[in-house]
Amino acid sequence: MFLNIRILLVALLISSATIAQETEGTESPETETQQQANGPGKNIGNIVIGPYFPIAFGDNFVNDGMDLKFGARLSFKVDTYKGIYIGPYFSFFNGHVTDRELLGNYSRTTNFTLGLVAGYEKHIDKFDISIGIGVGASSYSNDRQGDGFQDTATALWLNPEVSYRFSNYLGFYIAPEFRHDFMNIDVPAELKDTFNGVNYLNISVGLRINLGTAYKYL
Amino acid sequence: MKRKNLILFLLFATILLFQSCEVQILDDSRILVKGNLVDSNNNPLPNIAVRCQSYGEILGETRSDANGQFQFTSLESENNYPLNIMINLKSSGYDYYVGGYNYYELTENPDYSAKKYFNDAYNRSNSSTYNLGQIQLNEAAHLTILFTNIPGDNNRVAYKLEFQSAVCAIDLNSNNTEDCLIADDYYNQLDINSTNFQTNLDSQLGTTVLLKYILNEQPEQTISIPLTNLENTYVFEY
Repeated sequence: MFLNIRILLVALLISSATIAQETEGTESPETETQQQANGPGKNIGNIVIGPYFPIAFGDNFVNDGMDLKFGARLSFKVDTYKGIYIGPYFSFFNGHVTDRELLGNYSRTTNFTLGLVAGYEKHIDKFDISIGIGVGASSYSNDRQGDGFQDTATALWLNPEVSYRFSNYLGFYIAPEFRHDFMNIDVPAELKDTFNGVNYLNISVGLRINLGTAYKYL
Repeated sequence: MKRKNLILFLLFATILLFQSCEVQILDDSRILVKGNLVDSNNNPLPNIAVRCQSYGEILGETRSDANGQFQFTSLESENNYPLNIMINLKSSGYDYYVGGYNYYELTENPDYSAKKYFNDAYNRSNSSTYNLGQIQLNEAAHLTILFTNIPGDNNRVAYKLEFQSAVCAIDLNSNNTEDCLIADDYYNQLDINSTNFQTNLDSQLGTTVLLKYILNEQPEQTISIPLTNLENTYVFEY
């Protein structure tokens, strides 16, 4: 868990530094106008936000003992160099426990994931296509009649994404997400196969906000 | 001002009282509980409740299957809270833990006795498997004793009952066999003014209840009452 937090802090620091560099690099109005007139403009990055539909698969405690409900996902991808992006990521979803004999006596969970994504994005006409990987800290906040406890994990995911621009600054995106949570739950050997990790194929759709002037010229 | 302070004190005391009763669940931890249940004839016992709990809070539970087997995952309480595995026992709110026995527990299926496995060690290992193996639940037997005061006799009697309780306690941290005789001792003083009196107890079929009494300060006498039926009645006249 401490390792996850350290990774997260480093990620946020890198993201902040990248954004700061972009801000510091703002040129004078004359130069900006000249640049726009000449072509590519400035691509700061994009923000995607939308509902998040978790689908667990395989032999694990989430797939075998929970009924998952949708949540939400937010990601800020900062363009760094020629389509390579990096940025912070947050998602959450809820789940109801359906098999208490397998999971223990609690009723529901909320999963929060906070991490860092990095990848590459290509623009084809009005489509923005990207592929990225992410790593972060995943926390299952479990509730049982008022009191609660936590299960934690390190999450690793692969995140292709396609979006369609219906204006310069707004678009619609769809993003499947292949994710594995490496669980930190301490269990006896007989339960390791069930509690060691969770596989997800999550789907997110929603709004994409493009930042920067470059999108005018794509 | 003093009244206000008193109210504040009572408020904080109440909050602290409830706070201390709430069991803290260990993060990132599960335990496994398994075993199988048979009756005194070695036949499997289906549909018997098995629960893992701490201070009356259920952390995991199941029922035995058609073969008498059970297996379930349970949450784990923080190590400063006792962990109990209850076989055929009702959850009874906060169980006041005194020497491994609990007065508040009753068998859930009244046809059979019950067992309480307890682990109150502060340094118990987490993520454990509690394999309880084969557990025998004897048939439960009920005894009613009627104390009848014969009119005109000026007698005083003191009595005590010793018997195998329907609830047996087993310490998971020791190799001691189960202890069913810890409590359920009664002591009562009856005199000429006492009217007819009745006491009931739950024990196990095939065991014997010892009724020890002292009549008018004479030497102690013992009566053995074998429990040969599910329902038994004994009349004691004095």
